[in-house]
Amino acid sequence: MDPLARPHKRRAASALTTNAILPGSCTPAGSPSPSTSKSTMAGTETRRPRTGQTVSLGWEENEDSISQSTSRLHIDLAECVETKTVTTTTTTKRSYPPILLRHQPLGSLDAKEYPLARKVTPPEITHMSYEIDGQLVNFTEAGYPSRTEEVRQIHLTIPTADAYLQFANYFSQSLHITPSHAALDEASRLDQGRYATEPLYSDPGLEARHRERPKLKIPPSIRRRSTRGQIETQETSPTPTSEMIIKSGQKQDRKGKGKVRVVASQRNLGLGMRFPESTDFPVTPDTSELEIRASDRVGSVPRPCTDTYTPQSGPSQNSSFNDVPSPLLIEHHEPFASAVATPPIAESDLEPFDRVNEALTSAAIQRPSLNIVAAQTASLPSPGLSPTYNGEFDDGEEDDIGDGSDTQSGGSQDTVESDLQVARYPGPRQRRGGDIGAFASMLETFESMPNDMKTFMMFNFLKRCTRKTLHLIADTVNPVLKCDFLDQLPTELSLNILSFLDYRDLCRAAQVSKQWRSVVDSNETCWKELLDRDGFVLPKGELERAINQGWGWQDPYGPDGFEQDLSVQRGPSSSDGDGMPFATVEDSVRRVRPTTKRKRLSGNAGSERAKRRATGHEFADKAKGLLAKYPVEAEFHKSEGPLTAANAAALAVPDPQIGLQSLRKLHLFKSLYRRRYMLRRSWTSGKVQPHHFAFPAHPTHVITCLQFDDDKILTGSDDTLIHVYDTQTGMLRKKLEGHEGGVWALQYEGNVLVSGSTDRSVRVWDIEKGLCTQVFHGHTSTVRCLQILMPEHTGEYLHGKPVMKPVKPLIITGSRDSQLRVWRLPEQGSKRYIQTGPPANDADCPYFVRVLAGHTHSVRAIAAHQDTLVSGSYDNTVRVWKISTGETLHRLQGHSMKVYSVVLDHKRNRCISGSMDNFVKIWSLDSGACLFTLEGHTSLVGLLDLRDDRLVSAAADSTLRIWDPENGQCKSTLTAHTGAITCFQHDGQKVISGSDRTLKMWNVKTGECIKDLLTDLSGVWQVKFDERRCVAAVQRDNLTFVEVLDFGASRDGIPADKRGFRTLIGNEDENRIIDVEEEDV
Amino acid sequence: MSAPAGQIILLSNDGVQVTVDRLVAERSMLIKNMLEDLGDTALETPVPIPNVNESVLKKVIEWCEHHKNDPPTTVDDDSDSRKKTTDIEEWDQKFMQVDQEMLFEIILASNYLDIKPLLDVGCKTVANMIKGKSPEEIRKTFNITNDFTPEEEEQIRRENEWAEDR
Repeated sequence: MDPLARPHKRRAASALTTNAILPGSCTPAGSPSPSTSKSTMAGTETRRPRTGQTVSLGWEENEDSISQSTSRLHIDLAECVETKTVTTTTTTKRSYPPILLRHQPLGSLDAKEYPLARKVTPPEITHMSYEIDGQLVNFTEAGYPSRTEEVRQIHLTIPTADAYLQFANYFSQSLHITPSHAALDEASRLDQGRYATEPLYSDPGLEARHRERPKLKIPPSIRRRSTRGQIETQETSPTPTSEMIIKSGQKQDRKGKGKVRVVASQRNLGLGMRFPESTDFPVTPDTSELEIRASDRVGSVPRPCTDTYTPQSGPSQNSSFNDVPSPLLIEHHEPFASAVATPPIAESDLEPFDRVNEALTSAAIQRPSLNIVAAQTASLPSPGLSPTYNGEFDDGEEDDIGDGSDTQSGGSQDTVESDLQVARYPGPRQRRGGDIGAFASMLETFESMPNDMKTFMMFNFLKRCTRKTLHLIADTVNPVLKCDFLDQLPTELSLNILSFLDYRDLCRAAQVSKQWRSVVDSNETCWKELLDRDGFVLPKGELERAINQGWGWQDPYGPDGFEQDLSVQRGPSSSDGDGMPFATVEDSVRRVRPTTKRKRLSGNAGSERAKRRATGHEFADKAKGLLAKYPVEAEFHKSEGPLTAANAAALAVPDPQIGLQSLRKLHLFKSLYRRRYMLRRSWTSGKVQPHHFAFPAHPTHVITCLQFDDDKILTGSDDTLIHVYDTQTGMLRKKLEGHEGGVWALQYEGNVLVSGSTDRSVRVWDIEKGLCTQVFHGHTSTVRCLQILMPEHTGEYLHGKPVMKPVKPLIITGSRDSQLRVWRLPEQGSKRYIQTGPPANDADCPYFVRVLAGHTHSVRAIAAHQDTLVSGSYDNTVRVWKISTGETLHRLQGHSMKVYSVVLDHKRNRCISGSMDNFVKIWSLDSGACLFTLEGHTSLVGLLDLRDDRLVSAAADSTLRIWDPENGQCKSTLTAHTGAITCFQHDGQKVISGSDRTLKMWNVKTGECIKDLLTDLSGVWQVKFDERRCVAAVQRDNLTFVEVLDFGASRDGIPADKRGFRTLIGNEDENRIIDVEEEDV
Repeated sequence: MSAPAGQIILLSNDGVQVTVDRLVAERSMLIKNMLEDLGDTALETPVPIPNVNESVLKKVIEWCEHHKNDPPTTVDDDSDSRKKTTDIEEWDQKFMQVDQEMLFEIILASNYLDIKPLLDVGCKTVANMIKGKSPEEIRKTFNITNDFTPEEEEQIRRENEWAEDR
């Protein structure tokens, strides 16, 4: 349409032609196309010309300032034609002029809509090489400077093609090129021979041509057509262009005979698609040039245009086809032959074809793809691939086929073909095969590509996709590249992964899928480890209870949910009185309930039990057997336990009818974890009210010391007595009488209690029997502090046995007599040893170990670990002792006033002391140096507690402070009390502290007061808490009470209406009644 | 073909020979034990690593190379503390920035080759991909199909809700 276009083209074309012919001076852009030629003289026959052919392709993209993007495709082809008797071989390496491919104006695309448009092709995908039928194809993309104006003009006139088109072009071109004219004669000969001998020619297009072409007439003017095509394209073509540079090295029979053939039109063929007529065809400058030449030749040369697919075009093609005939091709060969038809073409010259096409529309649709497949599979990139369309268009070429030998001789002619083809290329409006065919064929073309090429092409496709498309693709592609680790990894590795997750992540993971749920929930070991890691301790008997009551099947919901006893329905029940340890807890809780209820229950208890036995005894026996194998202590508590425990649980309660059948799965330790977790949470969540009861204890005296567990509460008082209460009920079990002065220190371990008194004696008790078993004299003043020191594994081994320190359990006592004494802790059941007075010789006492002397004033506080003991004294010093020898390791001086409290930080080998001088000091046990002095308190620091890497100090200034024991930094100050802090405890989560009027609970992390646990007090003597209970000795209206707050009550099924208020149960009558009830059970 | 002094040739399951320093290769307990058992004769021929392909093998070696001077891990001794943290040192984090398939292969390979620290890094990486995500996000992350019925999903949600309560 643009009259100016033509001259331009011509010029360019001629230039190109020249370039093509003269190796070395190739593209206008100056693209490298050195051509070298070697020649091999084939004496007689060429054998498989293709062997040894090398094609290298180079793809170059360039964006210049005016956002024209250009690409060049370099194709190097080295072909070696072997001859049977080789005398000389001539290899001609040809440099083909650059082929300008119409490039989509990527630069002009809206980056928002086309996010990848300007994305640089990753280098790793722009280099590829592969070998096909002996052809080594190298593909490289490199940047090139922008073209000369002339070229650009040419580009302008060239219709834009989509990236894929370009590639397709590239393919077909390269393919075409490969067959280089080098061995034209031979090739033609071969071809002819083949045609003659091989009826099933693999290229349907060729066949078609062979058969039908003769009928067709040569288009009147090739040139005209070509121009037309160009013009059309020009209208639509955007500026960017791609340039393909093709080099080929071939062996030829004649030196220098190689010719450049650029078959632009073949691209289309290669894709096997019909492209929109004007827009889509990248016409290379070469082609235009070629066209011209071709047209000229049309005039002058009888056989001007050889079709690309014609024998001449590539010996390689032919051979490739022969070599690797694709089954598909063969199969479809016939139909194609008949279907020679090409996509409908508007051109008049093609009319004959149209007819054929119409007849064989369907065939036509398929054809392209087949061709492609054939081509690709047979030999990529081979010129023969694309041809179908060309064949159709080029009337003249068919003739060529007929006399392939002739045409080949004139290598230059080849170039013409491309132009012609381009010109003839059917436009979109002309298609008849329809998009379906195009789509199918394109797919097949793509499928047949080598993977590297697929990658490259796909990348370029993507660059031309809109955001929406990219999203769709991303959504499609991304998921399938993912990997379900838990499902696919071996179980032990899945478990390894899970071991890095916390409970919340595990619970979320359990909701992912059935497989994940199964892996997570049944992972007993993992949950057990997590339980330990998070500092939960299973109370004695809880595991057995969980096993027997089927907790592992349950998923109590909500803060008030609780684990039910499934054994009541089917298992061996704890209430059967078979001595299961857990029975006591639950039963005793029930005992407190109104008697009517209890009686009602007991009314039909007999029959219930009988039933239970009948249904459950089989499993019960199994479970019991299993349980019996493991003594309660050794059994499940150690690391070997989780799976064994789960097995036992599965046997104890085989199949509770709980929840959906499809989801029923035992998860024992997850249940245990949840229970402990919910218990811990219940303190601070505010959603769970504690079960709260109180009873008077040592009513008119001070409770000086207190220790408790799930079973019992021990209180020492200045009334000389030690009381033992039932933790569940508050019932007074025993009164330990014997001390002659106030009790100021006590500690028990198991059933053995040790107490110290103002009477200067140390007494050892059997708690259950309520008997004093040993009395140690020796201290000459009040025993103010004591500690039971149990052997602990030091981590060392001696003769294969773990080294324990101390070797045997010890008692360490500190006294106002300035001394410390070390005693051996009597084992339970030891002979009674009651000293009535101080012995003449300390050694007379079989339990006496040694005296630690050195302090010059009262020993107020002690802390011991393994072989290290620290003591704080009113002499303002802290001493560090080696217990096993009694020597003083350090005398820590620095406090200016009495030391009231000491703790050991054995992890860091430090100790910490609190003093009346308001300071807390951190000492190194290695050097004895004071590392940090913690300032802030304004009054006596009477109490210290170090746990979970948090140090808490409590002072008479009514505040508590939370410190980082590592560096002594104050993390927070707890200020809400109004009087001196009299007692406190912390567990790394919360602090519970008592002062003059209230008992408060604080958040260790934030330093906020969570709530007042007890109010309206006149004093708090002692407070202790464990995982579920807080036990405080308080004074109300000058009477002393023990208050029990059980935050775990809800987990034992105590209903909400029985919680949240204080029940006073402490009178003697009540205690007596409870006693009676217990007896009758 | 025998490897140069101090080196060992590993043969991936896709037939590629990779030459590595013996010191590096010995990050793998499997190889280390093998060398101890077989002595230097093992150096004379390529050692087939049947379960590991070239790209994964090279990746694993890259890791071993970087960690060749790490102190040897003590057996089990810190197994507890080791698991408490999913912290990954910076280099390892970058090293693990691979697609899931590669990560999967690295985990398998490190398990097979018995390179515990690498196995842990791999598992931690996966754990970190799970951490803090909702079930749906986890599904997306690993392309997992939710195969629960709505009824089941509701039950499972309820039975795990305790962990969501803060």
